[in-house]
Amino acid sequence: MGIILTEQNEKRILKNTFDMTLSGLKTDPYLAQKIIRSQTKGEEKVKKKISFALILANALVLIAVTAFAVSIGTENPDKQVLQPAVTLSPVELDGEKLYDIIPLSQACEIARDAIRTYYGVTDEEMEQLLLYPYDAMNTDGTGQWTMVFYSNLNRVFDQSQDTYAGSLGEYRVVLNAATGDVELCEWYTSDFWKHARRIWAAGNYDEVYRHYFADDFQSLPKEEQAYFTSLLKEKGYAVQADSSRHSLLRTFRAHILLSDPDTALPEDDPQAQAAWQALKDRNKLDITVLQSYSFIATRAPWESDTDDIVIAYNIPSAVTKHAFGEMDPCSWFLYPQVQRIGMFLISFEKDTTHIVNRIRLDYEAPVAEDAVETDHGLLLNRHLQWNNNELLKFHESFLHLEQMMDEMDEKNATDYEMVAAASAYMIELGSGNEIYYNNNGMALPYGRTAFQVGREWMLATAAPGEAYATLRQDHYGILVKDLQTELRNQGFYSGVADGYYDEETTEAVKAFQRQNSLDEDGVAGPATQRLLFEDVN
Amino acid sequence: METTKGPVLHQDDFVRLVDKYQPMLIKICYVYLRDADQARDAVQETFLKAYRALPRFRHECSEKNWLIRIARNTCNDMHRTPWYRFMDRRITPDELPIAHEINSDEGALMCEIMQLSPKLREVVLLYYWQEMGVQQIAELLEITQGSVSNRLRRARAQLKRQLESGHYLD
Repeated sequence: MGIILTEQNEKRILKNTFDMTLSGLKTDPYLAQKIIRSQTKGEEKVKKKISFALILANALVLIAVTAFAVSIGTENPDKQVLQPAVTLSPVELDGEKLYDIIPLSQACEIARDAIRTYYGVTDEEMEQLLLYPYDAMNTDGTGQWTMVFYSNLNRVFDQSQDTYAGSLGEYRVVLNAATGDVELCEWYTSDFWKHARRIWAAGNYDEVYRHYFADDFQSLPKEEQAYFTSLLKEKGYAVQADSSRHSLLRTFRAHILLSDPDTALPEDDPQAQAAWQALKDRNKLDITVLQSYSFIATRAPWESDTDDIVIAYNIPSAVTKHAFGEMDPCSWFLYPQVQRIGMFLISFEKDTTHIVNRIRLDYEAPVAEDAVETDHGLLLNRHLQWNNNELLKFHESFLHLEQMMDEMDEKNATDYEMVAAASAYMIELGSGNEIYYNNNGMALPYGRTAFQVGREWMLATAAPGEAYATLRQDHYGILVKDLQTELRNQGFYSGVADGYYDEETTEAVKAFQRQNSLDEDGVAGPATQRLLFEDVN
Repeated sequence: METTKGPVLHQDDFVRLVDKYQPMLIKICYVYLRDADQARDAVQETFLKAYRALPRFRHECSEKNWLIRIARNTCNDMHRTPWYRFMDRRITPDELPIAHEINSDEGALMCEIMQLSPKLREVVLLYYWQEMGVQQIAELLEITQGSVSNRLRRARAQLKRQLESGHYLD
């Protein structure tokens, strides 16, 4: 049986693991000497002085290592069991206590109270509520303690469904000891709608509204959704009668740009604000909904003379919201969409229509006037056809490919050819290129730009030794930068390795080709690159 | 161009650096490269570069960060060669450079860590082993703090199962 991780435990385990498993790496006691000798003419006096110091240092290290080894050897590897009782301790910063110790009984009382208020639980039920603290964590060093409680709310049930709520629930209570603030959060989101009626009855309308846009709402039966929608509407909350997902499909079929969260615009950027406004005005798409579907405003990642804002689907933020692999609703339907046409993007420049139309023409994508339930259903089913076996088949190559992609600098500009390759890749594989261990066997792409995906695809589909994308004048990107750097290292290029394949780069490639009896066309094809990078004779 | 320090002082500094940081760097390079021999090569290369660059080092960052940066670049350079990409780098517990007996779960956990993609692996290494903070790591790797947090989160997600199901020394 394992343990529930606190942050401290996690840190301790990992540190210890590193220490233990890397303990066998031996250092070279003469390394400094070797290097100095290789770099200087080697003076006898100096060498002797260094040698002595080295020997001494080495001896000390040996003693330390031995002592450490002995101490480890005597530790008792007993098994970790659950520790239900914890006490809170104050956080100390520069000798100052940030807050006082809370007695555990008091903490439990606070937690009970929060649950009572939040769920509208009756006194009777409270008595049956077994609430015991499971763990305590200091979330981020700010003085807020998070306590995790197990409770058996199995006496609490949703009357309309006439069922008891599941077995144990896990609830998180955040206590700010300094201010006395208490917040009840759910650790795992799955149970919310089971208690939604009670929560509503207890007057926590905001809370229900907050969950309205979360993923689990979409998996409720249609009648339930309609019921809550009307409740919220009555109370004056902005609800989407017509699901904007349909609007999205109806309005565009375009590219998906998987954006790196690092490129996200700050919220107070006036250009971003204008873009969001335009989105709302022209397409009646509400910013709240879009943001809940993980769209962000980002700079256009390709080189452009305009200050294009791209509203991109920010898959990384979706994944951080659902850290262990659950999909948000946008992924459910948009991702199969990605499969079908390869990419999806909503771009807001001076003339949005122009962009959309151009893309439609490029991809010969019809405007689906009637894309509603049927479309979703079809798309959803296709996605559901993936099961774990299918994904596992690709798992090995995904890991490998992901490693390759990780080696690239994410910040560099994309290359339109890469983007096109990315779409082909996605269509071909029919899924994302990263596996999250998800119950439904779904794959999620994570933080990958189309550029990276494209490159990886090209590398993956090429044979070893031919894994080079042809680069030519006016190309730009990380591959060009690598090429320029290598050409420079070998003395053929004296310009800047800026990732733009200009005339100077072409000349350098020609020079290399000349020297190596290759066709002097100034285009860095696979043969040229292979020779350049691998030095194959 | 020439340094104000004489060659002997420079070398003393250098020896100190090697003594102090070689153990750390060999482990870091091993985690990057997943091969002990290559790690040794990388460390040698790193210190060679450091020796040459030492006179120009103005302490804009800490020595440690400086060396880690050099080591990282060295490892990345080694990584970039095409043949290397296609090599399978899966580590099994008996391949780990363990000096003495360890808990099998720790071995398994380390193998899981070694399975992480390089970018995740390196933040895990820096955060948990070097015990650097998110901001420090962001500065060292020259990425945003958000990126660091994201990567840590992703790494934790992938290590979650092993972490929760294993038994570890207290």
